[in-house]
Amino acid sequence: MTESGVPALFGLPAVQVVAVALASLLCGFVGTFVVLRRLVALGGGIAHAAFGGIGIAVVVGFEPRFGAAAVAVGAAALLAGLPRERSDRQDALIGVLWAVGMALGMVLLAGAPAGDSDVEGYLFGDIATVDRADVVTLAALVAIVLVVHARFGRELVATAFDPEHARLQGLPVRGLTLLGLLLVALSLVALLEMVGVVLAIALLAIPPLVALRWLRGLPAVVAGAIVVAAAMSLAGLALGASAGWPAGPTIVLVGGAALVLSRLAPARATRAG
Amino acid sequence: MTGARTLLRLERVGYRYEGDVALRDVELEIARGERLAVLGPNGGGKTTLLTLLLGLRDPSEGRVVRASPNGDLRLGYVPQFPAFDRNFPIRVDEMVLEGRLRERRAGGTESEDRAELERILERLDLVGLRRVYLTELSGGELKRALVARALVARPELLVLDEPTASLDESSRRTFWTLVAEQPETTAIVLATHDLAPATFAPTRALFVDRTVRELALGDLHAEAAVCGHGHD
Repeated sequence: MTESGVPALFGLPAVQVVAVALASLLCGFVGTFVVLRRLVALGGGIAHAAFGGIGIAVVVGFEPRFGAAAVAVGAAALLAGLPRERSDRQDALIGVLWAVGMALGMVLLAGAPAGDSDVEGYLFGDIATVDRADVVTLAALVAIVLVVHARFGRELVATAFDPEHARLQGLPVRGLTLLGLLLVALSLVALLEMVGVVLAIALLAIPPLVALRWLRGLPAVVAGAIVVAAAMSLAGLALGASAGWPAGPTIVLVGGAALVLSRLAPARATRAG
Repeated sequence: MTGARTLLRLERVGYRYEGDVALRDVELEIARGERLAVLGPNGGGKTTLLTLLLGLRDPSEGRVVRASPNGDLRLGYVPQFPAFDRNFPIRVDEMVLEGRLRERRAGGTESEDRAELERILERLDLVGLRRVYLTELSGGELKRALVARALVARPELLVLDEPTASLDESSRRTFWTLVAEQPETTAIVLATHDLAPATFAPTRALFVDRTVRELALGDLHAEAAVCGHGHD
């Protein structure tokens, strides 16, 4: 038990630890896809566009996460549906979605009732507010991610590695890309409660980047990213609690430090000769 | 309609990049078993033509008619410049097996995959590199792995874009022997400047420079020399 009587694990509220564990699984599977497919900027664009969805939901009177999910899924579909010939314009579209989503959210939340306009909470998250419903949402999403990887893992890897060759093999590259982006969008929304719009993409990107420094082979990288995500999240939570710092930013700072350290340390051994 | 031996046909096909004409008015039919050499200057549209044949691009004008509209034609492709990230955590054997994704989706078994993998790794002297990650390969080794991926599914249409660039002499000989060993029913389209008489015996030759025109086979090696020295 914590001092306030809440069930505890590792000295932290149990619901937070379970949320971290589930989020770490997302970071391992979805984050590795994001990094290998070079979708970090695109993920950032989706997350920031989702902020506009939060603003719309608050104004209309919906649960904010539903608004975020709707806009994130719409943005993912828009980016996945970009014609091949126009894919060189993707970075511009990402930038526009990023900025317009933020602007829309700020404008709409500025006019919302005081209780619904916690802009800082939406931007940077607050893991202290994570509750059982959030854990159930995370668990459901993790289950979906695992089922999708069990059924389409080989196809998703082929598409992430070499989309041109995947197309030659008759794979529905556009559909698989959309499937991957939908998982990215939903994962970002699920992480909003913990680390907010601004930091969510860092939670997906940092663990695989650290794992790729030392590990070879996709299964090892995914497993390593899960471990790194859990370690940086728990360390960030503990450090934030003891230093009085906000949890989300502290988690991301710990992850950033881990990434720097991984770059300074010797890389994995490579083939001789 | 296409004939029984026809794999695909391009009808008045054109392609534009950002409004600029890369290819125009291409009329071309490729039949099973053809050996087609594609020559032309850099920037003349050879790679664009190959990617149109493979369905990797949609034509800006005209249409590509395929004998297998369901997309079940077995395709092998060795690109001049691979489009993937060499830091992707994938081994040589895993990459080569991606050449059999179509067969697996069509009901092929893992044991068939393994047998074909062993055959092609041995043939291309890649057995010792099977568990090596792409990031650790030399340029020539990577090219051999790409050739293995293209051949592992015994393609009906094999498209080779400057396939021997970055291969050493021994690997080149192995490669040309492998090409010569392809079944008579396999159509091969080769874009190259390395058209020594002993390497590839085309049944037809094309010159590509915005448009496509057929070359007399007797002029072939003279044209290859011009392309190789005059434009590259």
